[in-house]
Amino acid sequence: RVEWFAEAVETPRARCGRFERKNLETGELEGDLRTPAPLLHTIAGLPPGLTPDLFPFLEPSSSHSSLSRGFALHIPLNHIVDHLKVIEKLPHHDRLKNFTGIPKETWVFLGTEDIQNYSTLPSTDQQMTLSTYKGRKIVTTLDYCNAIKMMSPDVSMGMTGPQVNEYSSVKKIRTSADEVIQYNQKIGLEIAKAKQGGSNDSGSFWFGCVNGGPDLRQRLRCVDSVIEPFQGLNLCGLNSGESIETLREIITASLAKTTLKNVPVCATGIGSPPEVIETVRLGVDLFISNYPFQIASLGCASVFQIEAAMGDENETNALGTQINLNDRQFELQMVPVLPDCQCFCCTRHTRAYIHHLLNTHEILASVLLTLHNVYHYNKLFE
Amino acid sequence: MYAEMALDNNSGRSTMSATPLGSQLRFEVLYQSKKSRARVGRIITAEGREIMTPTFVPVATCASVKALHPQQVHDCGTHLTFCNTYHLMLHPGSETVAKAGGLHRFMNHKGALITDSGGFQVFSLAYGSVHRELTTNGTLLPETVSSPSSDSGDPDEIGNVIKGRRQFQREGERTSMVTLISEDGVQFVSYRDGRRLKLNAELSIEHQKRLGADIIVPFDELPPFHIEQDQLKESVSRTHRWQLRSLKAHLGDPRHQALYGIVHGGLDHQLRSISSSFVLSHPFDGIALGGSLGKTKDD
Repeated sequence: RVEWFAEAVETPRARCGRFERKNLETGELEGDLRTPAPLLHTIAGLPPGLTPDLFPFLEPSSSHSSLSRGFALHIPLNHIVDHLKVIEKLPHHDRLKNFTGIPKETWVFLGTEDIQNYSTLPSTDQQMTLSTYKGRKIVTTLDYCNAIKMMSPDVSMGMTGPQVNEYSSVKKIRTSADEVIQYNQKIGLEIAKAKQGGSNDSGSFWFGCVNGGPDLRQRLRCVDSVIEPFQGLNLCGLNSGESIETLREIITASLAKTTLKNVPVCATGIGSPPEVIETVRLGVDLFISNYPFQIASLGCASVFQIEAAMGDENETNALGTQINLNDRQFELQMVPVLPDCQCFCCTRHTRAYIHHLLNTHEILASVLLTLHNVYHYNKLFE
Repeated sequence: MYAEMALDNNSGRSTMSATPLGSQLRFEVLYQSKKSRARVGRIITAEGREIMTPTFVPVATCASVKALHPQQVHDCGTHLTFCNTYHLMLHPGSETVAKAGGLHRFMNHKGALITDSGGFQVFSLAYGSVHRELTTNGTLLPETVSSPSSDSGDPDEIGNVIKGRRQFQREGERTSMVTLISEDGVQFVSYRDGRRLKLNAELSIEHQKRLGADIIVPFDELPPFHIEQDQLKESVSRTHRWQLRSLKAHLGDPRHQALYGIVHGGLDHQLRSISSSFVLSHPFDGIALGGSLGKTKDD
């Protein structure tokens, strides 16, 4: 069973929180996840380039305590929806983690949003179409609920529908909001039904979705539809190119409007450190993000000193400081990517080596850069 | 012909100061099979790295086993890892690796390393892929100048060769990046930036010294699979001369590295036998089997 608590709330809305996972029978605490936290984008369960044996190296204050402190991964449904029949055959408990090889202490959030490959495929108020590696797959709300029940991820992020942005027509934006409202209602009914049935196998912790692109009015309609038994608010599609002012307006209004009290809030599509800091101040707790992987794939590493950057006057620039290790200047630099960084990459390798790996198109380059960037990102959140 | 080759060996040997065979490596047989010649062994390199044998040696072409970190490579049970001198020559360059303190430091690799001479890649540049080699009966790619007896080529000729390349590329066949094969060594063009480079026995050893692997190999010539008998003899003879030059360069500055001699001779038993004697009669630290080993298991 998973629950979320707010701790240390700062006015007006920024707060720290904590997810707790308890054993259903014994009530014993099995793991926790502090928020604000990133929900790291994965390709079918694993972060791009990383294997589970490297997971312990992604957390700054690694588990020296007896209680395993996890970090969170986000699995887009379209990566695994073709394999549900196989996953079903695995032993009952924690099927999804068994299938992907994710260790028990790592948190798994399952959703329909694939932030590297947004779907604009047709949808109705009962189903949406996912783009998978084998083609297309239609998923109804019932299919989704059953899949969640079967796979038992820690948290479910709800059904978002296709992406809309400021270039979408007015009608399309309104339709997207209508559809998400329907999804929320139908899924809400399913969750309530499962709870009435006595079992807690309704798929653990549920977020309700808010869509509507840049249109505030449509978004607020969606916010209204996210009511109990939903336990969280997922503000989807916030990376469609809106300005920072629009972003602030949308988030503030959405959080003011919601009737759910004391629930975690997730924002999709916000990933860069300056945006993260800005939106945490507005009250957002979770971020579905692939920022560390995106910059690693370009050969870049985050090198800002975290405490200094956050106190900096020009915070936005400071938080964006990166180096591109493809650059020739790093050819002979036998120093770590970020001096004093305790990540796997910086304690074992030099800028010169990574520069060489990038130039010879070796996969290890992106593995090492990812290890650094994710560690650094997690440290920022800490 | 064989007598001549033996004489070559003798004349080579007499000018060299011999160090005891195997001084850079310690090898012990832990178990010898009674049913076959198979054995379990242990090699300890001069710097104390242990290699259990028989062992699978993964290739870290450009100082990285694909997608694996050195710790993961070690955790898979790897004792010895192989790096390509040719690729490392082109990037980052052996000087850069030397500045980093050698390959072990550059990669942060704790296990034993072995480098090749660069010969294989360079010669496959001249003959094309193994597939092409087998299907065209070992013809050199266009624009490769192979000179059996003369020394370094005429610069103008090479210039023309490079200009001629463009014309061939339009016709669709890959042109050779090797511009000259001669008694001295090989000249070729870097695939990265078009620079003209040279590789011979002394240069190969120099690069391998800078890279600093535990085990290194001499520069040898790799004849194609389809080759006339007399060409093969000529090739083996040349390879022996190149190996002696490599040995001399190595012994001038051993640096705790072990140099393996390479037995050549294609599928010809007699040549193989002569080549083995050659390797065994010189202070190489180990024996490598090089060149074509045939098409079938029986070969």
